Amino acid sequence: MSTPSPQHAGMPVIELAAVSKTFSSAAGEPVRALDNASLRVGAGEFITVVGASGCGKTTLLRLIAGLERCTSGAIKIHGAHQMGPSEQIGIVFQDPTLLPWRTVLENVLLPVQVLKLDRTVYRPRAMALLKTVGLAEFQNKYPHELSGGMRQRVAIARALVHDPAMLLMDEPFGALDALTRDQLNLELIDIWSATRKTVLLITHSITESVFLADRVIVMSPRPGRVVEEIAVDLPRPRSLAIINSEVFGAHVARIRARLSDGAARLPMQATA
Amino acid sequence: MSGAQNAIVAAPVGATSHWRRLWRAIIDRAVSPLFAVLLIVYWEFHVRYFAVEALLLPPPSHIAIAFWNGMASGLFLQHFAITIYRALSGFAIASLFGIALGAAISHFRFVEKTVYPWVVALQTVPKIAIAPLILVWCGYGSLSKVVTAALVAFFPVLVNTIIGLKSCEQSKLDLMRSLRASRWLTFRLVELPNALPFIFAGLSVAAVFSILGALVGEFVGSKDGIGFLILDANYQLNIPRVFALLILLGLYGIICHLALQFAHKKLVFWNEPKDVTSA
Repeated sequence: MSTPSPQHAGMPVIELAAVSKTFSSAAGEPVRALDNASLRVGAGEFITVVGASGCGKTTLLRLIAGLERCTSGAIKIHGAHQMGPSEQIGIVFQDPTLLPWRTVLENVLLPVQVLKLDRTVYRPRAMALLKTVGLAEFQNKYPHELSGGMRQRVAIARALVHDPAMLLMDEPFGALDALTRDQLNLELIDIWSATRKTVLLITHSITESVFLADRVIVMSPRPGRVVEEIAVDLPRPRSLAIINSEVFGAHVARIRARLSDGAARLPMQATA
Repeated sequence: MSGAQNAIVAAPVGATSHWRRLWRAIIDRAVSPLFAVLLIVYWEFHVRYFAVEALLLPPPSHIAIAFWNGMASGLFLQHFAITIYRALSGFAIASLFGIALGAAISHFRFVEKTVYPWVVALQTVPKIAIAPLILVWCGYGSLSKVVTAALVAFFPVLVNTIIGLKSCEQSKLDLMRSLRASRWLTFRLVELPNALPFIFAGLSVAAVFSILGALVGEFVGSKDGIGFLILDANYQLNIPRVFALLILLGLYGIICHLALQFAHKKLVFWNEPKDVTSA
């Protein structure tokens, strides 16, 4: 049985209306990182954003996280205008960003300490999360004693410890080997189905984007633009075997075509 | 070792190769002290055989006797204690101010804009050249030596603290910012521990520099301390004693280095200490 597809109805958790972001380059010239992006993410949805490097997908995530301010347009979180970082958001960065002088458990408890939450309440929660990611017996180890995949698992537990409504992930598995990556994708789906967080995950892997998502946002570079949204209606729970199915292949082919459209346009722009 | 030899030895059983490994470990460890011993023996032989003037280069045996006499009479230790007191005081002051100013410079734009250019400019001035001035300002006693030591040791701590605090990865700062951490909390939980390996590198250099500063202060004008003893022995052409004092300083340097390396290993356990050999 497939779990019912998350509702698009009701108030969107994340809403972007015609959002643009322009940086100034080192030479002082304006660089448009994100152009007129609009997006609605419903509660409990799993959204992936796929695109080549430089297509503004990290900018998109940083804008939603409140780490950057948009140049124009509007960003709403839970219907309210985005006014900077919020404890409603947990972030997993590209590298695990663990503090090497803290044990695994203390790393997971960092948000609890910073947000001044009650440690006695959240310590068992941190332990439970470590158990979920299979690292319960590593709680007293230090990050340098863990493998890359284990470190990123700790980062996921840390992003969830203060129970945020949404999880933003910036190419979280990009630096891992293919087998570890598959494993972590499966674990992420498990965590998502258990917690029903709203997830927005950025990746440059088309396969990963389809495998995880309810909806895939395809972006093209220079300037960063949302070129297509593809609803992935594959049944859940998903196993790795689904990757070889025809429907899956069709989704991948469609995204790849969209991405190479964008790439093909580039030389023409350059000569124009 | 040649491959052929290896093949012959490896053929019998593991026991032989075990002994070989042990033998090699002993040789690896012994080779450096052995070199020193050979050098000293040759030195003794050369000085005696070619009748080198003892004023120019005393034989190691004379140096050893001078060392023993100086230690046994308590003269060396008495002056050594004074110099160490001056060096360590200077080191402590330099560390405190270096870390504090480094933190201020890396954190407050205003401080960086006003102070940092002057710090960079001052760094190019050889601090030792100011030692005579400091003697005039701070007098003949310990204070002028402490100030010279502090001044010389200050800059490595300061510069390394600034580099360390500025070297924090953006993603770690983003993480703290995404949790709306205050600047102080970000500093305490992330930036300062992140800078510790750099700060320790600075402290190692400062430990060596501070003894240098104290000695220079004593050279410029003093009635006690190792610097005074060296000058005094030099005037009396008691060259073996000069060498003996240099050995004492060398031992102190080694102990300082090992102590800091130990502290580094304990405090910054996630980062293997890099050997600091500058200065």
